[in-house]
Amino acid sequence: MNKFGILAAIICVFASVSADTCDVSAREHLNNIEFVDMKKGCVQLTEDQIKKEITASLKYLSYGAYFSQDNVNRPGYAKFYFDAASEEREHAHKLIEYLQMRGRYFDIQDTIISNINIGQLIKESEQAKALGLDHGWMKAPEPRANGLSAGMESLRTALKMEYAVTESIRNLIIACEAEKVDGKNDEVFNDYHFVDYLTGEFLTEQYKGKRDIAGKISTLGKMIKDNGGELADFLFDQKLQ
Amino acid sequence: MKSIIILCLVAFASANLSTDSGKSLETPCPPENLFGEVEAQDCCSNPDSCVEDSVFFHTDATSRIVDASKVDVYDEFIKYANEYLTRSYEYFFLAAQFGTYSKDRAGFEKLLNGLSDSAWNRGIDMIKQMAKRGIPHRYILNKDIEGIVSSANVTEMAAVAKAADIEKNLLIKANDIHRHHSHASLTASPSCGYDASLSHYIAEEIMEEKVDTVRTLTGYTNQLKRLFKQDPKLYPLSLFMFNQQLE
Repeated sequence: MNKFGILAAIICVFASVSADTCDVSAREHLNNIEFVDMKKGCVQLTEDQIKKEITASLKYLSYGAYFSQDNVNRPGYAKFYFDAASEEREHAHKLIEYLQMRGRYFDIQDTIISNINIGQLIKESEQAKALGLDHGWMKAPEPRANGLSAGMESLRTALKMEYAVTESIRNLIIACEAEKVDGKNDEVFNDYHFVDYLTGEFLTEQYKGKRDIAGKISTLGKMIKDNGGELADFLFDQKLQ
Repeated sequence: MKSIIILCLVAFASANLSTDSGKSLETPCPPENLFGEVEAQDCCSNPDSCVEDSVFFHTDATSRIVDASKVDVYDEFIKYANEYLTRSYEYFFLAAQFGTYSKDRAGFEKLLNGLSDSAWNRGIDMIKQMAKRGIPHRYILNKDIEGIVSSANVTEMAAVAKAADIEKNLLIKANDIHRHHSHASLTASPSCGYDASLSHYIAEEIMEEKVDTVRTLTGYTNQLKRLFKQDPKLYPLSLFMFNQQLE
């Protein structure tokens, strides 16, 4: 630990005394006012979704890095995937903001949000099997044996990744629209607003994104036919720039 | 009249094109020493092979200035870039705590979100910098970064002090990596890591910004510490005012 680390540690001791006092007094005034109604199972699944969005962002980042390499040289694809990485990160941010609004960010016991191993997520993103999909196309030798191109293979995997994320959001919606209420066997809680938010904001974006990638695959596929993947990739990359 | 002029222009353009393509066939040699002198000479003695560019089939061109086997001299820089991505998400969760109803400190949230965005963008920029220099990116991390988790409940002062700590460590690491890439003897091999361009990038793009950030955060930390020490009873009110200043 460097000198400053020690200084910070000392400061933390000072701070914890007063801040605890602040939190306690804040909670005192909210006692007996039941204003938070989002249910635990739904919150935990949302936290899990946040992890998935982060993993997708890191995976897209590695796609961007791949296409930026001097021996791949596809600036258009690189830009597309770097932008996709930041977009996934923004999705994670939006979900956190939602939990904050509903009073459920960092508010329940057994929360996973306080113990996400970020280092581990980064390392897992290196693996070819991140998010249960095969990203091994990045390691494939050129020219590709199947007559495809790196661009095509990346888009196909990206579409599978978007499909997986969409399914995950759909499952989140299903869980949040009929969660059993603790202690009441026959009562379920339908989180109308969150379900509407997920459907309106997230699913719309997912379906638009999937349509966009599927369109790209279709166009590139027609260019590859009878021509060869490399030239098609070269030309399509310019469209993406 | 117009059509005659257009016809003339078209004829002139096609004449130029044919001259250009003729020229390129007459002088087909690739730049010497790109892939070795022997291949360049073969190319000159056999122009047909140059038309097919077969001389270029042997290997990829690379912008890297060290042999492929020595590319690990850049590992510290790769780990450093990945640390920015990791820290970005650490700040991301740290900031989120201050947006909850129980903390409700929008100023602190804004400060930490700003650090998160800045670390994310810098991490991506460093990956692009690697690509420019022919260094393949991998998700490798230093041991001290591997265990970073999203933070548990922290106070305002602890969060700012933690941010100051992180930024100062990043500055120290930037210094170390700069030293690694900016010192060598005249006869030293490039595989030792000397790289003026990368040093320049670190100094200009990273250090300048980082020095300011460290100064700002240490200033905030000391300010909060004094506010607490001078009058602990007024500290909740001080935090309220400080938060407003950050908003």
